[in-house]
Amino acid sequence: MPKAHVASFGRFRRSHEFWLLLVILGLCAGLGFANAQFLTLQNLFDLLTSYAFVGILALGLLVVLIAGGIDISFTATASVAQYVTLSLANAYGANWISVFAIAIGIGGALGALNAVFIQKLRIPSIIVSIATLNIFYGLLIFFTGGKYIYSLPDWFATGIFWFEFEWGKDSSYGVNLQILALALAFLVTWLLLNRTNIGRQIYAMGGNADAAQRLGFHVFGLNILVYGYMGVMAGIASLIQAQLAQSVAPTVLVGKELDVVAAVVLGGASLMGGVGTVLGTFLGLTLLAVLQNGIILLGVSSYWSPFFVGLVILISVSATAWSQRERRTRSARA
Amino acid sequence: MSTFLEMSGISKRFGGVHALRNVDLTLEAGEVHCLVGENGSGKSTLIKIISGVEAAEPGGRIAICGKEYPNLNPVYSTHCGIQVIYQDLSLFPNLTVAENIAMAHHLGGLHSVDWVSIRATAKATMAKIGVEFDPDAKVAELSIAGRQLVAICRALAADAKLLIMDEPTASLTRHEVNTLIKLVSELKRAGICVVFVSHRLDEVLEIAERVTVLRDGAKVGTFAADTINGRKLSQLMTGKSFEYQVQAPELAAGPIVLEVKGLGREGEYEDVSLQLRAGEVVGLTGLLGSGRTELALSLFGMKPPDRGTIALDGRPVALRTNADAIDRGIAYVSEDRLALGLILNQSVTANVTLTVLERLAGAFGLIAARARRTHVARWVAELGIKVSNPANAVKTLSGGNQQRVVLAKWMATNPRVLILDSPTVGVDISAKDGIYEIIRRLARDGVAVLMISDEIPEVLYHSHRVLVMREGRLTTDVAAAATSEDALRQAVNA
Amino acid sequence: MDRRQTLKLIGGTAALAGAGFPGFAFAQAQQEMVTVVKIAGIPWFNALEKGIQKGAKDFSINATMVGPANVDPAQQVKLLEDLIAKKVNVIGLVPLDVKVCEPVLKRAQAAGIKVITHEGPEQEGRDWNVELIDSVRFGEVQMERLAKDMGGEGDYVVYVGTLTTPLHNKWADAAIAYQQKNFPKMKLVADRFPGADEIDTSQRTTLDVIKAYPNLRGILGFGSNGPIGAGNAVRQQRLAKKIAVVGTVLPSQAKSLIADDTIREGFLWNPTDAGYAMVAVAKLVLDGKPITDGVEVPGLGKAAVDVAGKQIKVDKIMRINKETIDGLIAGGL
Repeated sequence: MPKAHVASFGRFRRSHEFWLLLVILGLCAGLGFANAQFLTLQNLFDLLTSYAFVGILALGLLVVLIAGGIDISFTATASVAQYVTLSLANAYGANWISVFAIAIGIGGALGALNAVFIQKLRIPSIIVSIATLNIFYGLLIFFTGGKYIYSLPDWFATGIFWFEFEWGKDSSYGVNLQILALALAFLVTWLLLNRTNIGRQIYAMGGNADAAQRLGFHVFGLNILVYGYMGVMAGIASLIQAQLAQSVAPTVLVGKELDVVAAVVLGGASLMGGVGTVLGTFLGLTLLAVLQNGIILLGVSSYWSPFFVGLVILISVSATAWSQRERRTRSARA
Repeated sequence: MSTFLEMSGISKRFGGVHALRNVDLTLEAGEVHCLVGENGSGKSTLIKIISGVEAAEPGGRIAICGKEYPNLNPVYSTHCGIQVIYQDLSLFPNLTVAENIAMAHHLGGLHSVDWVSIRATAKATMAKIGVEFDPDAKVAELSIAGRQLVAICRALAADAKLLIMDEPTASLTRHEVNTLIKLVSELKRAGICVVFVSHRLDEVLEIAERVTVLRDGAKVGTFAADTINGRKLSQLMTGKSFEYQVQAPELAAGPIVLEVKGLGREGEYEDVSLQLRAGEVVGLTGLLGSGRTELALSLFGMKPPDRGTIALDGRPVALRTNADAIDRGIAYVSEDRLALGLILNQSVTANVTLTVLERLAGAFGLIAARARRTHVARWVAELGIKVSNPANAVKTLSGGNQQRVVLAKWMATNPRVLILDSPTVGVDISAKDGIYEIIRRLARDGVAVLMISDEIPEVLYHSHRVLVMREGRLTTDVAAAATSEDALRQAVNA
Repeated sequence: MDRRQTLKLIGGTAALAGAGFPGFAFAQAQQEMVTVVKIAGIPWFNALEKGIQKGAKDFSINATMVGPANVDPAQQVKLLEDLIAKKVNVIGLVPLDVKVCEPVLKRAQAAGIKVITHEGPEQEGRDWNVELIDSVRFGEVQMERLAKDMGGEGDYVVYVGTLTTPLHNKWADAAIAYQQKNFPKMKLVADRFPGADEIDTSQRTTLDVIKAYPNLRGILGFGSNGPIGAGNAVRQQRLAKKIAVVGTVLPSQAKSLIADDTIREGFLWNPTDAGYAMVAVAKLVLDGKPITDGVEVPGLGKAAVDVAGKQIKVDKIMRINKETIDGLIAGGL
């Protein structure tokens, strides 16, 4: 058994995730040294809260990428789910369970619609999702006239706080809605991908779609599930974003696709399908979050921050590429 | 021995074309049966009918283990233990060895994954045929041969009683083929019927007990392997007879074009000296890892040697990159023409002109359309490339025609030295003959040809001189007329 | 093509029906002005569109508004090119990026199209830029308010939409210069931060800034969502008493943050007035009326005109505080 542990650690050491982890640990150590505020529970909670929206979407996109597809319509899906759900809540009253049920339903349905187009019409997923992004968003803007919703139900605006603790004189922290949703999304996605046969079928389909078909996978059903899951994540993410911003702005989510794609791809998922892990996505997200956070804490001028963000991303990606090349050269020599 | 599968009167038409005509086939449990035939002879259709993917026309009869299946479908056939390993292996490179082998665990409705039982299944299956991979390694990390073993394990884990392998040796080295042959005899002992579909006739005869030959959708016959030989087999497949003779040595009396002395590259090959004369075809064979491909790549400037000299026309040259080599008239047709030699999605025109773009450039460095058309038309005619329109993508051509496109691409550079790595892999027998004819013509025109091949008969019957490499050294350099298949086989495997 | 022509025809008929007989001659010769805004569909530009529609009616110009679906300069250029092809008489523009828009505007002028900008004091290729506020004054007024809340001393930071949004940065420059001259005990502790066009970005930035600069006393937000995001973060941290938030906001959006004093005061000009002013100036230009300092802009009063700088300014700063906010929201802002 210890031998197996050694072997699996060896495998981990060669993985993309390991190098990403090293970069993040290095970055955290440096930041913690430079600013005492960085390594505080308060900062951790703030970061988790701020990045929950991107993180939940990233998990949905991870599943789509592993299945060998791509979806960029999720911001529009989220905007629609957010607007419709909270308009209904304002008009007819609702509670936590019903708002999440509605948002998940809308998100899942719009996601599944993508899958239907992709599978039945055999159109590449990128084209379908570019089209549906514009269709969903266009319809939303047409019907709402782009009006913001500023007043949300009181219970919704108040949010959820668990395990509250005092921090400093006035402020308090706790597990809020955003952190709770993010943690659940990570747990469920991890279980789906690693502990269910459907998750393994998703990996298999992304690795070799022809073989999956030949072995009798229910490919259409799998795709409905995959894109539907992306939509469900978009629905959940949309609600926690609205809760955080204390308003619904139909125009503000579309355009944030790239942050999400960056987190997932930085975490090692391949746009070619079949490759990617929940841990990697977590680390990719962490790297982006720590970078943005650290740059302000270090007092780096805003004019320089894009440069440093780009630099660190390049370093972390090069570390993996370099380690893999080293390994190839070594095994070629052996 | 009991009969596993019996089929009779099997016909199949696609559109108006007869893919199969009234074919009978019997497969015994525990036999090794080879299915041979040229492209389009109906082999694939027959396999599809056995595996239930295609239905035979009414009148055909299929019985498995004595039970009739009038409507065989993939579910029944899998249930009866029929497993097909396609040429692409249908594995999932991103999943572990264990998951690939125990893929059946992942099928069905939503349930949790039992990793312990998946690893146990995989280990037990691997133990059955005596292979030992790390069950947690990704399949992508394995060699082609390793992946094939995993595919076989997957079939066994699905309780295969009939294992059909489509071109299993196409991408294996001789050594790996030997391992596979040993494995097949293990399977045979376990009472499993193995069907090989292969182009390589010497291997077919080595492995099979019985050979069934198909031609134009009809069965020519089933033969006991020890009653026929390669020549007879190719005659049965094509209906034509091919008589190969050892080339007359006096044909190759031209001046020395390329001379290599004491060439070596760390860890790959050592102390290689050889000469190539104008108008000479020199065969080079040896096991994979013997250094033959690395030597060829050194001559083409892609793996510069550490030691020794290369001289062209008596003058020493430094070949640091393949551009150096191309400039000096050395051309190289790689073994993996699909990956390295051709851009499959592009047209025949684009591929043929790739090496001579500069020469076709007209005013302002733009490609002159007329010059390009003439150029392409000339090579299509000269090499007999069968393509209705040169604008068609290369991937629409047959293997033999693809190989001609690669040859055209390099011959257009007017090479003085042409290095061919396994030029007839995956090419039909009749198409092979066309390629040999092109090689002979090139030699007559004064090109020095170095032909690398795994197949002993190929190097023996189509070269003037034969070189054998073993463990990085050149061990044999002999006139083709002065050696034999057996002698060469010994030199390769000794 | 056919469909578009049909639509035009329907539009034309509707205009005829609406104008009635006396307007007949006018309707036929009615001149067309299309204004390209930064993004379609957001409340700010919906309000601006109301002004354009009012101007269209008052001045008998066929004035309409279009905008890209995303904040994307390239899409603005695309829309401008379409308008040149369509041969409109006047192009209105609220530019996203002055450099990107410059060549296409010069082409428009070469084609005889008049160009009226808003929020584009540095835009080349225009005939006039219309502002409801004086950029320098707008920055100074807000700094004055922030300084009052901070008691004239302490650390503060400034948010802008992006580091290249022309007007936000002009306001920021003016505000910072004003502070340096008049409130030497106040200190700008970091370069201005981008992201003030999005609530969640400015909210996140504020959380980080509070940690990075523990002595922070004030946040000045330019860009309509900056003070909202900052206010959310400050309220969440229960620091509203310590940190003053001041900046440009939309009244309806800022309602609860103004009510509990997290945002001390908001500043704005009325976008409906701005839309109206653009059409009014277009009318003056189309009628060939001379535009000089002190010219009467119909409906808005006397304007300060810088002929050489092609600037027309009408001073209309709108203050949003507990006293004014309900009235403004009732007015649809």
